[in-house]
Amino acid sequence: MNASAWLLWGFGATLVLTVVLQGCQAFGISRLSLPYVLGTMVTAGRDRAKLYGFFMHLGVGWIVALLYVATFEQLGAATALRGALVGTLHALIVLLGLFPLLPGVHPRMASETQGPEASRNLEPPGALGLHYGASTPIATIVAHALYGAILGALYTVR
Amino acid sequence: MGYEDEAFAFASWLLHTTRLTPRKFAVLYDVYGKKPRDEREAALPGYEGSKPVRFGNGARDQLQLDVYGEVVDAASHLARREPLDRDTRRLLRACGAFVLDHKLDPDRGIWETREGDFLHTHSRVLCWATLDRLVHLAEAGQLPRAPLDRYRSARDELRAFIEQRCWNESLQTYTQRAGGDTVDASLLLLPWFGYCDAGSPRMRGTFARIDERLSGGGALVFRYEESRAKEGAFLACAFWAVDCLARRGEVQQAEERFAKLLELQNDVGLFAEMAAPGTGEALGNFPQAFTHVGLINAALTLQEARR
Repeated sequence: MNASAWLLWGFGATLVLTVVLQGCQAFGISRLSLPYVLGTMVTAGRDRAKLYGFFMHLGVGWIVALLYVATFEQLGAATALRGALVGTLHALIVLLGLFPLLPGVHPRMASETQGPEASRNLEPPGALGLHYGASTPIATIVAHALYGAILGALYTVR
Repeated sequence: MGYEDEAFAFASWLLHTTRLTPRKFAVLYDVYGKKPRDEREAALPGYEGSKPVRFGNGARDQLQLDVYGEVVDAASHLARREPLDRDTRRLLRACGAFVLDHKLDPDRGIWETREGDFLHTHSRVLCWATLDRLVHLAEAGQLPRAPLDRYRSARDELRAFIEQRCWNESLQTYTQRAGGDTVDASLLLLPWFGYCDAGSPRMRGTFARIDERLSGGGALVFRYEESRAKEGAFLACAFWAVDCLARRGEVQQAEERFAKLLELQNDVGLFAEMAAPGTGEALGNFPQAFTHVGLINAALTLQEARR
């Protein structure tokens, strides 16, 4: 494994992923902010949650990049297209698998199956993240495909 | 009332919900922030023959300027407890920017009437309240980078507009619309938002005219003059009248009205949107949160007035 390439491009791809998702939120395309969702797992303060969540997202992105790298190593080559395909698969796992489970594990996320609690003031994303806006699935897929494409284009299999 | 966590949860929901409509709020959002479906009429019989039966909500695309005042006023209450976070400050500045640009635009107003857009007095007062709260927040250092001077001058401009155009000298009342000669029960909220004193001559004149033209008998009050022929008395307005009386020190009269209104609750203490004059029969939406908010506010004001 090319550890230095993983560290460098894993960081770069995660940074782009974060910027794209935050940009989608800033421009009113989606309500989703993955750093905020992560940050509110450890703090209730909105400002602190964004800061902590940014670093948590960066860490998670770095670790997940290892899976991409392992896939590229297994396939024998890394290309932007392969990376984008893995990124799309990653996004689908997030949208279809992770999001519906979040209310059950997130300490500050409201759940559709429980009554209202004042401390759970983060809305549940729902299937495909559609509660966060109709464009959320597309934004999530595009951002993750871009993440994969960057890794695929810039990682070199040894 | 001590429900701070719920208030913060509501602010969180509001921030989340308005994320896709940051410059112009929608009038209605569902719990996930989606707009309700557009309105359509159905050929179905309504309760006791009421008609038409509608699905969806025709107000979904209306401009109602009062919503900005409600939101900013609520946030200013939160700010008394702890400093506002960046997202809330951004939301409040966005509210201010919208109100600065649209404060004198005709709108549908609080009652979402189907007659079109007008310069509703209540909406102007809520725009005034938006700017007033923003001025106070900015002066307290809670709203960095806010255009304080613009807020101040626009607030003063609005007050001048309301006092000149929304006051009818011959009727001695604030009016439903600028330049109009009809009254509207939403004017009872002017003291609640701190626009004027409930005991001021202009507010006393307005209260008297509302009592004369909108009374449904007993403690009941209709929403506005045209509504008398079409619907029941609106219970939230009746509680606003109680609030207004208590604020100007007429506690006994306020309590008598309050007691009469409490008789309209059902066996589990819930109120409808409206009541039929004479019989007190529940009409409209049931239960209606708006009515209960009016009741709680009136009760708190009465409690304060008794001290």
